[in-house]
Amino acid sequence: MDILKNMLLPPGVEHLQMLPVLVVFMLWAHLPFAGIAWICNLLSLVFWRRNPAAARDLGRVAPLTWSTVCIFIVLPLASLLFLFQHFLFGEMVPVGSYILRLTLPIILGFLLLALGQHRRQAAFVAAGSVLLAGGYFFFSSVMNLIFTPEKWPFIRRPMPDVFSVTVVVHFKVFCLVSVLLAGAAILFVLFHWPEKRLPVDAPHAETLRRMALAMVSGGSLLLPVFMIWELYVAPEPALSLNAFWLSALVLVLLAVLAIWSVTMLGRSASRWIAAAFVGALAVSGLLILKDHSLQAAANQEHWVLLNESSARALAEWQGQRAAQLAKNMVADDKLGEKIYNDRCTACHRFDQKVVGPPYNQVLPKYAGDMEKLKTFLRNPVKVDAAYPAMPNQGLTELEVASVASFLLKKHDEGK
Amino acid sequence: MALNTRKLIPVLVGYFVVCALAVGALGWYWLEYQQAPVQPIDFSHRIHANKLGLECSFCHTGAAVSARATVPPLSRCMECHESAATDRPEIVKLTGYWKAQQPIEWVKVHSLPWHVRFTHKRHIAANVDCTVCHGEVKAESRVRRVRSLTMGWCVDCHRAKQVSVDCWICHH
Ligand code: HEC
Ligand code: HEC
Ligand code: HEC
Ligand code: HEC
Ligand code: HEC
Ligand code: HEC
Repeated sequence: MDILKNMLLPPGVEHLQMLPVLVVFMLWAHLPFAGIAWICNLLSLVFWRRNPAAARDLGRVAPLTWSTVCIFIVLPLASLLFLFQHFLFGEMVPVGSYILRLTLPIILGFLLLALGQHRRQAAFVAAGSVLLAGGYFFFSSVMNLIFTPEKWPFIRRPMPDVFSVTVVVHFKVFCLVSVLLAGAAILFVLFHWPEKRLPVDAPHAETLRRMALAMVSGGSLLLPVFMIWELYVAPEPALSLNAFWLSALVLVLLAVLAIWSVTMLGRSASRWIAAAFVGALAVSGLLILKDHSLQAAANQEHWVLLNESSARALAEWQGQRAAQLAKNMVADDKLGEKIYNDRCTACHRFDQKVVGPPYNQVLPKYAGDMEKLKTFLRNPVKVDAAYPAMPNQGLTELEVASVASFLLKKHDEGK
Repeated sequence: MALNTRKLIPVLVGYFVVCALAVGALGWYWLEYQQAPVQPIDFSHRIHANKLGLECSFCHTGAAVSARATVPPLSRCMECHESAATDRPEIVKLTGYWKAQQPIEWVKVHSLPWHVRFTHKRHIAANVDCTVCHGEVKAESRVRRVRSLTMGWCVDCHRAKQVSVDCWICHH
């Protein structure tokens, strides 16, 4: 239990290095899919009565099945909960509990959408969409809270400040990216994907194609405004050069998408659809990275201290373990001799060069310094350029101590 | 009905160029005015407050007893740096200031407009930790401002702690 506590809280050093990567990856696994499913279902409501076939086709752009719900929604949200809990370890901000409280309405929202599409019940789809709009609005406010540490000491309500300009702008960016992505996804699934595409003569094909292109162009034209606004209202400590160059990169992609979609609107068939879809996914990924950079800059001091405290905890734990082992361990010369014969003689003799150097040549420098020899045996590093590196022999602590003691004793006897 | 959308392309390009300029301008403004300022001596709280473990009050002696926390005088630095790390370039610079009896002109990181009255003493006495208002300074190699210091921020805390928010308390 102590080990668990020390390794997990505070999180281990390697874990900390993985943490930012995992956060970004999980957000990227979740947000694009969620946005596409949400917008496509909203649109399918618009077509519900007037054009049921179109509504049905929109419903299958981001199909909500058990597997997609698990992979793109439940799994990322659950991971984010733990990742943020680790990331904000020791800070007085209950982000984990906010995400937990958000997870339920969001999952419920998607289940309602799935049920509505399956049973052809518009009411379910409508209820699910509204629930999701609320859910992602709060999600924006939680993400916003993470890069505004100055608010943390004053959180009194169960949910963070939701109606600040920053949150509204952040949510608008989410909506616009979702519209952009949904447009690109409609084109990709219904006009490009060989097994799922619409028949060429489907009566609503042209309507859907134009609508999707309009979504891509509208999204890519409006996004820059809100993205710049977001940079403008972002708390000053959250800004870093990364935020600016990532935004510039997003602008380049958006420009290409806007020009593509406007050009395709003027034609009767669309090309480069797959590339545009990848572009839209990249836009969403870059915006997530940009949000992450805000968060990383705002919390950089926390990050420094967290890394230090976990390195300290790890060192403490290793120290304890080494002390424990040293206490219980009596070097066993029989075992040492056995290991020497079984493992070391393949490459070493005392008086003769085999693969490795003769012990008579290398042991003098370890004479009287058993610890140094043990350190080498635990983790052999490259020593002599005349030999290849010695592979790690994977010895246990007892084996290391025994073989080291055996070698030094034998070396002394030989003198 | 085929739209002739070709003509729109220059407009689009122009629009995105304007947006890119706006991002560039924001970035330039940030680089120029909002980044942590460079100090005359590269003093690091991370070394002194974290690694060496000095208390804040060891150097900022005013915090608990007066309105200003005050930045320590050179003599405080020289208590150690007469002998500690004297060979490093920054310390050579520091000794230069000391020999010339010339105070270091630290760049101010936190400041309030003239019409605001702020006192450290009352806040420290009320057990408000330095980190609430200055962030984890001890993890910073260069001090930066991590709180907005706007009126809304002061008032938020005063409300939360049930301290008066009358205008005259904070304004002259
Ligand atoms: C696969 C071949 C191989 C095996 C097995 C092997 N070694 Fe080595 N050993 C080497 C090589 C090669 C070097 C030279 C490494 C260098 O100079 O970088 C070396 C070097 C050493 C050295 C000298 C390090 C120094 O500081 O110069 C010691 C001591 C040593 N081995 C001990 C052992 C012991 C004990 C075992 C058995 C548990 C063992 N080796 C098994 C290949 C081997
Ligand atoms: C060894 C002396 C020393 C210690 C200990 C120390 N500081 Fe400082 N502090 C300074 C010096 C010198 C400056 C001015 C240079 C600078 O801004 O880097 C300064 C500047 C600051 C500033 C910025 C002042 C401004 O210009 O607005 C803050 C805030 C601050 N310290 C807080 C702290 C806190 C909190 C602690 C305790 C964790 C602490 N300091 C510990 C020496 C010290
Ligand atoms: C309690 C003793 C102590 C006091 C007081 C102190 N320092 Fe230091 N300072 C040290 C030590 C020790 C180091 C070296 C730490 C290390 O490198 O691990 C150091 C390192 C530094 C360095 C970094 C040198 C380098 O380039 O690595 C600077 C700059 C510095 N101090 C400036 C100051 C200034 C300015 C003050 C006065 C505000 C001050 N110190 C007060 C003990 C002190
Ligand atoms: C309630 C918020 C608050 C707390 C708590 C607080 N400060 Fe400050 N600090 C400020 C503000 C606001 C300023 C800017 C004051 C000004 O410009 O008049 C400031 C300025 C400073 C300065 C530079 C200017 C000066 O006053 O000399 C230092 C150094 C400083 N603080 C250190 C500290 C230390 C050390 C602590 C903890 C013991 C601390 N502060 C606690 C809000 C706070
Ligand atoms: C983290 C919470 C917090 C923040 C932030 C904060 N204060 Fe305070 N402030 C307090 C508390 C608590 C007291 C009550 C002290 C007491 O009762 O003696 C106080 C008292 C004061 C007083 C003295 C009130 C009196 O009765 O005379 C002034 C002036 C003041 N604050 C100004 C400011 C200003 C200006 C800011 C923003 C730059 C600010 N405070 C930010 C917590 C805060
Ligand atoms: C807890 C402290 C506090 C209280 C109470 C307070 N103010 Fe302020 N006020 C500030 C601070 C700090 C600033 C400086 C903000 C800045 O630099 O952005 C400020 C700035 C202002 C400004 C200048 C506007 C600006 O944005 O620069 C006005 C006007 C003002 N306050 C009016 C009031 C009035 C009216 C009240 C009473 C309802 C009041 N303040 C109460 C702390 C306070």
